[in-house]
Amino acid sequence: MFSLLWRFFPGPVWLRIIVLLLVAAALVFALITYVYPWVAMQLSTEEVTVTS
Amino acid sequence: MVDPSDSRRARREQRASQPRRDPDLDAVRSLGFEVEEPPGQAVPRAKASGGAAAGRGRKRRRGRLSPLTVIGELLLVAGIAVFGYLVWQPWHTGLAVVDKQAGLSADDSAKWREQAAEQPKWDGKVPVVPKPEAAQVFGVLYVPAFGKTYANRMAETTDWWTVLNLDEKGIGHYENTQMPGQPGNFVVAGHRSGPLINSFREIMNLRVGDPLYVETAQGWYTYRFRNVEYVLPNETDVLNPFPRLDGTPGKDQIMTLTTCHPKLAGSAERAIGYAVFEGFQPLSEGPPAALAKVNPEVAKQSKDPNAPAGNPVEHAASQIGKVG
Repeated sequence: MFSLLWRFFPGPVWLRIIVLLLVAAALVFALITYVYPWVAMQLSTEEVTVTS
Repeated sequence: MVDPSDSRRARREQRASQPRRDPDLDAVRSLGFEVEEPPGQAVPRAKASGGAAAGRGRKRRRGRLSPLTVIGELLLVAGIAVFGYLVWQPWHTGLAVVDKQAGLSADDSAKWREQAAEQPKWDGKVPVVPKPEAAQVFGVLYVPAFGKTYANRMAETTDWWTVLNLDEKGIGHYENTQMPGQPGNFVVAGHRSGPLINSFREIMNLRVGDPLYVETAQGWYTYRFRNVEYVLPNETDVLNPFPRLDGTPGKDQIMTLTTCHPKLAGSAERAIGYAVFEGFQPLSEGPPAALAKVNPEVAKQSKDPNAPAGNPVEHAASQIGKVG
């Protein structure tokens, strides 16, 4: 998979490194904005109220 | 019927038998230059290696991508993503949500001060906060013991998905209990741990006599912390007008915080914090001086930070809190 990614992007090595870093940054951004908040919603939260 | 794997193999063999051309060099050639394929590149992709791979033709130079490799690499990425969540969650609840609350609280506070400026002068009585509608934000809680700049909005009802779990609310008022300014018990609930919002995370930081300030459209209500106790989730008598006691309510004004216990380890019990009403101060007199001293955000509100902060109405019950 990593090798496929490496071959997917054209250009010299330095450009590929930059592009792949940008892709990684986009991935982290997507995780923080969409994935992690969604996961947080799924994890059960503790009860905090007293009820009979 | 053609076996798909057969046709794939055929294609692969066809590809492997053609000399591999460097696409970069092709691009150069298209510009009219004469370029030679560097040695090693022009040779067929696969080097023959004896007759071991008989039926499959020649071996490819680059090994075939094994599904195990892909699975392993995906697992690596997933592991990093899970680690990222572990880093993200404390950052989210500890900084991002706290900042968001501080900003929203400052907006509310500014709005209330504007409204208060248009109202007649304070008559000297402690006003009762009118009962809000469900999910409506009616106040902001400031507790220096929870953090110098701690400010958290309070809303009506203890519903999970309209109040308690929301980043922009987080503290919920039990709708069957009294409001600030009313004799009785003003009970609020909030999360102490979990991934969403941790309004009462630092409840164990409260010490006897620590102030809790409730700012509403009516003014500032100051409470003094008394004690924490642990109860079982069904002990609803902590919501009584005087907590834990039956009978007709007296004049005492109590504020009660309920949250889960133990922290970070489920919610088999509840931690209950009690505070006693100390005094009131209208918005026109600015925030309580003691709060403005520790909280720079609140200090910005006071028109003149050096001016004395009025005379808060003293309440008999406040004497209890003066111990600390």
